[in-house]
Amino acid sequence: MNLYICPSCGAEVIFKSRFTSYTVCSFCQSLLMRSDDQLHFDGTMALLPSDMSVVQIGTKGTFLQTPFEVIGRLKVAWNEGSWNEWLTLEETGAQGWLAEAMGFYIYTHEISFPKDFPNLKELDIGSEIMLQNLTFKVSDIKEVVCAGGEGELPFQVLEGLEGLSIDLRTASEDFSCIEVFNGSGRIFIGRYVDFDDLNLSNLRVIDGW
Amino acid sequence: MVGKFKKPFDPKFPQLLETISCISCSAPLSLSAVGHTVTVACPYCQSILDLKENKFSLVLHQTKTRKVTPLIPLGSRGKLHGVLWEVIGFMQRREAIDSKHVWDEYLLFNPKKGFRWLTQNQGHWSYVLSLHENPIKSKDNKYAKYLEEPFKFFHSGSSIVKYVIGEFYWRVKVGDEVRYSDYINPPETLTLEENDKESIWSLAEYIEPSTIESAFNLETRLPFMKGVAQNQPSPSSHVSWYLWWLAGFFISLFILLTLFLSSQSPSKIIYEDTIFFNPQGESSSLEIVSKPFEISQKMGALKFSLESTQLANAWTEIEADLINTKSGETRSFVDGIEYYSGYDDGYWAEGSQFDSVYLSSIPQGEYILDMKVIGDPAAKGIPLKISVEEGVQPLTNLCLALFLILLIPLLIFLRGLFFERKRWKESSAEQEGFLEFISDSWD
Repeated sequence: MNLYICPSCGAEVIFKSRFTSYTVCSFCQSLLMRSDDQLHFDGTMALLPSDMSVVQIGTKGTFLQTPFEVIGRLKVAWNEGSWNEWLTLEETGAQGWLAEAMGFYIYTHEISFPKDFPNLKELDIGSEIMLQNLTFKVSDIKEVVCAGGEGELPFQVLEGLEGLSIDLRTASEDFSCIEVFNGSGRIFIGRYVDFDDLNLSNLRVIDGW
Repeated sequence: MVGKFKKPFDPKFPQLLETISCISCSAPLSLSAVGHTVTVACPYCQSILDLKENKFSLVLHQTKTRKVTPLIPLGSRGKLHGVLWEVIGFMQRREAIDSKHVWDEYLLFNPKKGFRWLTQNQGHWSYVLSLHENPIKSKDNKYAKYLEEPFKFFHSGSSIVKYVIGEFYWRVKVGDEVRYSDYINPPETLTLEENDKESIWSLAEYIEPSTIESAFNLETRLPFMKGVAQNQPSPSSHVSWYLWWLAGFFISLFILLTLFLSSQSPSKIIYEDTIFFNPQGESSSLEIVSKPFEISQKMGALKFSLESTQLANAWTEIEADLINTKSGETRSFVDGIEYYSGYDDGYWAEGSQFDSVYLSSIPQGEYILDMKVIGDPAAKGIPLKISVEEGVQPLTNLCLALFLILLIPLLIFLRGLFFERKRWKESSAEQEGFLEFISDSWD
C-alpha cells in the first residue's frame, strides 16, 4: 500500500494496487498520475452521474473463490445507456473487472490477444473467434464514450474519450469484451455471475432499499 | 477532515432518488432506477422522454391514448422468489395482426438483482427473466434448448407497443414492433424477441394470480383467468405421474396378495362327474343329486364349471342348489352353455362349450348339489362334464380391483388430455404440439 498526498488539495491518496498508475482524488476530483513515486496533476474529473449501483470503492467479494476488493471505477456510456466497470484488486495482486450493466454482473480478466487474432476492423456481428478453447461469437459492436471514473485506474481516463466496445458471447455464461480506445484494443475474458455468487460485502447503502 | 469537498458517495449520506419534472406537463417524476433508466414515460401526460447524459428530450406525446391504470400501481413493492421488487414501468403490447389481443408487462427493479418482468395475459401471470445466454434452436425450429431442457415451439408473431408509462432501461416508444417466438415447457416459456438491431431471449415462469395479490398487497382482485395459458402447468402433470406410480404399486401389491393367498390355499377339485343329458319321454329336464363332497378351505371362492365338447347348435343349463348336508343352508345358482356354428359366407361360431360360476363365502362342511338340467332337444344324449373346485382366486376380483385402482389416474389423465388440447388450440403448431404431448405422455 502506498500513501501519497494530493498535489491539488493535500488530501491523503492511497494506491492499493501496484499496477495502477492513475487515481481520482475523492476529495477534489483531481485526476492524478503516479510516476517516479510522485503524483502529478493530470486534469479534473467531473463527478460521476449518480446511479443505483450497490457496488462502491471498498466493496469486497469473491470470484471463483478468489477474494477481491473494488478499487476503482470506469463509467462507459453509449447511445442507449451506460454501465459501470469496477476495477478489482484480487488477493493474489492480480487485477480484475466487475462489469455491471442492465442488472447483469460480468467478471473478467484482461488477457493478451492470441497471435492469430483477426484484425479488429474485420469483426462483424456473428463473427466466430476461438478464445481459451471456447467458440465466441460477436454479439454486439457499439460506439462508446468514457463518461468518467473514480478511484484507482490502470490507464488514463479522459472524459469524453470515444471508442468501440465489442461483446463476444458463447451459448453459455462465458463472456469476452474488446475495448478500443485511441486505436489500441484490450481484450477481456470472463463470465456472467449471479449477484449472490459474488458474496459482496461493504455494499453501498441505498436509501429505501 | 482533510480536503474541501465531501466524498461524492459517502455511504453515510446516501443521495435521494433523483426528482425531475416532466418537460411536457411539469409533473414531478422521481426516478427509481437512476443510471439504468433511459426512457421515462410520464404517468400524468404519457409523454415519452429520452434520458441521455442526464438531459431529457421529448420523443413522443401520447395525448390521443386513453389512460390505462395498471393492475399493480407504479412504485408498488412486493417480494417474489425472496427478492423485493419495485414496479417501475408498465406497458401494454398487442398482437400485430390482432389489435384486440392485448397483454400487460410490468418492469420490476431491485438495485442488487437488476430487472425482472411480470406479464399478464387473459388473467394469467408470468415472472420473466431476461437471459444472457443464447439458447439453441433446433434446425426445424420445433425445439429450443436452454440449460439442457427442451422447449417445444408454440407460437410466433409480432407484437407492437401500445401504451407505456414509467421507467425503462432501454429506449422504448409506442409503436415499437418486435418479432417473437415462444417455446414452452410448462410452467416455463422461452421467448426469443428480435428486431433489426438485437435479439433477446427470456424465460417466463407461470405464477398464480394469488401470489401476485399477496406479494404486492393488492386491494383489488386481479382479473379472472380465461382459458389455458401456454405455460400454465397442467393440473394433472405432476399428480398423474405420482398416481400412475401409486396405481402400479397397488396393482403389484394386489397381484402379490393374490399369489400369496393361492399359495396358502391351493385350489383343489373336490367334486367331478360326467352326466348325460338324457331326459325321459316328453320331459326336457333331468333331476340329478350329486354324491356328498367336503369343502375344507376357508379362503378363496368355489368354482362350479360346466363343459361339453360335444355341444353343437344347442343349449343346456343347470339350475343348481348347493346344500349343506348338516345345516340345510342352500345357495342357488344357474350355469348354462350354448354353442352354435355353421357356414354362411364362411365359418362362424358363437357361444361357448364351457362356462363357470364363482360362489364366494361358502362355509366349510359337507355339501351336495341338487341339480336340474334343462336344454333343447338337440342337446339330448350329450355328456356334460361338471366340476367343483375350491380355494379359487377368481380373476373377476383381480379385474375389478385393477379397474378401481386405475380409474382415478385414468380420469386425471383424460383431464390432462383435455387441458393440453385447450392449451395447444392457441398454438400455431396446434396439431403437432398436441399429438407430441400425447406421445410424450407415454415415454
